[in-house]
Amino acid sequence: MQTSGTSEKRYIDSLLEGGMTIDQVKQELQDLGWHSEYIRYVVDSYESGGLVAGARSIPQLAIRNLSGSFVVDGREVRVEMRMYRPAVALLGSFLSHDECTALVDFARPRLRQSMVVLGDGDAPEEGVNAYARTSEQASIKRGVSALADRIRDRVAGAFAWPVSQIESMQVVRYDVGADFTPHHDYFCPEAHATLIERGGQRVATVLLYLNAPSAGGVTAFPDIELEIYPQIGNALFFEYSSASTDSLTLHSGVSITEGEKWVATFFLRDRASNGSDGRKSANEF
Amino acid sequence: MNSSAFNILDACASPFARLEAQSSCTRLVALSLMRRVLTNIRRAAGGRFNELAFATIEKTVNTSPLNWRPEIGIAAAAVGRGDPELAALQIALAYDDIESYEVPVSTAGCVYLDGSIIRVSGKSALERNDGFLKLSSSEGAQEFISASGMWVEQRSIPGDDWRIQGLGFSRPRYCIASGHKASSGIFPSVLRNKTVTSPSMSSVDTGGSERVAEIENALALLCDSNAYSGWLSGVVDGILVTPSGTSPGSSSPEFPGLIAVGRDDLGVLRRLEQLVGAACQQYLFQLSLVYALIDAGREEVAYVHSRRSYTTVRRALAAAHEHVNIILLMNEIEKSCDNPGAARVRAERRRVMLMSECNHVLSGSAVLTDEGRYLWDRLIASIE
Repeated sequence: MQTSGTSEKRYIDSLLEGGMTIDQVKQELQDLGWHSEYIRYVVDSYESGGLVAGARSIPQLAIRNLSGSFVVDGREVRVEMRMYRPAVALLGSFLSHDECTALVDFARPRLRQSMVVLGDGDAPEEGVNAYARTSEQASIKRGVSALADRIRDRVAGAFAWPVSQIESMQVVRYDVGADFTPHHDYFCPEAHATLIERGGQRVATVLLYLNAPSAGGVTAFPDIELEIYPQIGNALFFEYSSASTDSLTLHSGVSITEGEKWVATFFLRDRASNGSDGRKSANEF
Repeated sequence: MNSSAFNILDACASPFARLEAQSSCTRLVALSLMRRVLTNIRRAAGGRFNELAFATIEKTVNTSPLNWRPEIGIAAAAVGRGDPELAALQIALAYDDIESYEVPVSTAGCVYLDGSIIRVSGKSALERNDGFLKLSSSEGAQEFISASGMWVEQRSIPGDDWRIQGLGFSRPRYCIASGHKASSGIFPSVLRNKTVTSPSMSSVDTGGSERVAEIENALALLCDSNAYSGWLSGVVDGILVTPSGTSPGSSSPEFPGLIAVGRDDLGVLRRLEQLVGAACQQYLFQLSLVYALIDAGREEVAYVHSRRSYTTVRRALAAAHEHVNIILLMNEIEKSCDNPGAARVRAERRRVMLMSECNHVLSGSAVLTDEGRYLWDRLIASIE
């Protein structure tokens, strides 16, 4: 969630210096007309030392004035749903049916068993096979598919984010019974320090639904008890600028019970890759 | 925008932007409003007036130093209701240079003078000389004397719940302690509330004189400290204090220069904050008479995380204007008051409101006019 962290910290500092207790501070914030959940969030952030990020840039839906739709890459995209904490948006018609079909056709012969990046420092950075993720996927790097590149540009435009800070597209297929257990998309700051140093931290995810499964396959957010139902061409965005469980972005791909489910995923990072280890070129994840 | 626009916008942004232009801008805006009212009166009267007498009023308006006073708005409202005679009488009453005026008031109504409300109807006549003023009509005659720069009614009604008290400053000049109920967020209906012909059954609730003293102390603190003394006096002529437990709307276009405040015990610092906040509304009202700050017929809505509610650019601009001026005020007060920590807290409180509720709304707005954008840029720059 975007906050005016610096001014909030200054205000709380001044109240505490004036002799108030933290409970009295909460009362003061309530007197400002603030919502109790927001007060809890701000005070918790203050106490954990995290209330300083006011100037930090985060990806966000590039609309103003509660527009019900906006145009990006020449395409009118509908805003179906928006949530602020965590920052979640569901966009309709982000992709055309033809684009979805073309991506599936392109990815199908390139599918491999999906891997997961584990949060313990001993696991390989490339990820490991895990029961937590029983799907197949194909990574489509920049320059390999003109369509994937164009959609990455579209994501950059829709969320006001530099294209150089968007990872390669991952196309994922779930068969009947396949799922992805609850997880966070950000890198664990401690375990993945090297990864973060080289290519930056993930701050948001854009999940593109390439088909509508006959049954099942919802994307579920347990922290907020939210279910997003896959619809072809829709885009689901969620942001987690705090790489912690406080981001409330724990999510899962629930098993499908009929047919198959196709999604494409972009992860947005807080800076471009520096390519310092020579394994990847600059600005390429 | 031309240099005149920069002057007016600067003068209304804060006292630090262009203080020297402030009084002339205020006068020009008030004069512009008054000329509009006179034009409307003449049009509505359709030749029913004594031309010579009305021409005297017009000449006086054009040459006298003019204050931003509720009398102007009351006249505008009267002509808007189709009572040009009452409006003309109201204007004549407001200018000390007009010694006499006579007009038939066909529909009974009220006129206002330095906080006093006078009911008139039928043939109405104003006489003024040597610090004495008499207004007579078929409703009776009321007499006033000039004292401490204001007209004070000679008659005193025991138990009246409308008490006017001079403040001893050039402006604001007076406080009205009213016992009438006021609705939260709504400017009191001054003319309707006043009981004119007989003492009210209710009495002014306790605390009225303490609040007036609190206001005086707040204004005194201002005089000792900074540019906000002139800022306040430029647009506030009178202060209406409503009963405890009410938080009335501070300003109304119908009563320019009159601000309403609740009677609750706020303490000097918060009282001062309240007065300067109300003055900000007056300045924005003045600006709105001269420039459109937001494109006509357009608006933007934005989400405010902290409140989990929505705001508009119009609301955000008005709030930002107030927040910035309170921050600047408190920064000045902090240098000189006995409790600088308290002033700092008030400043930080406004800063957090500015940043969480206004900044994101205004910074990327597409509906601010050039003048509105300039005002916002000046405001935010003044606290950086």
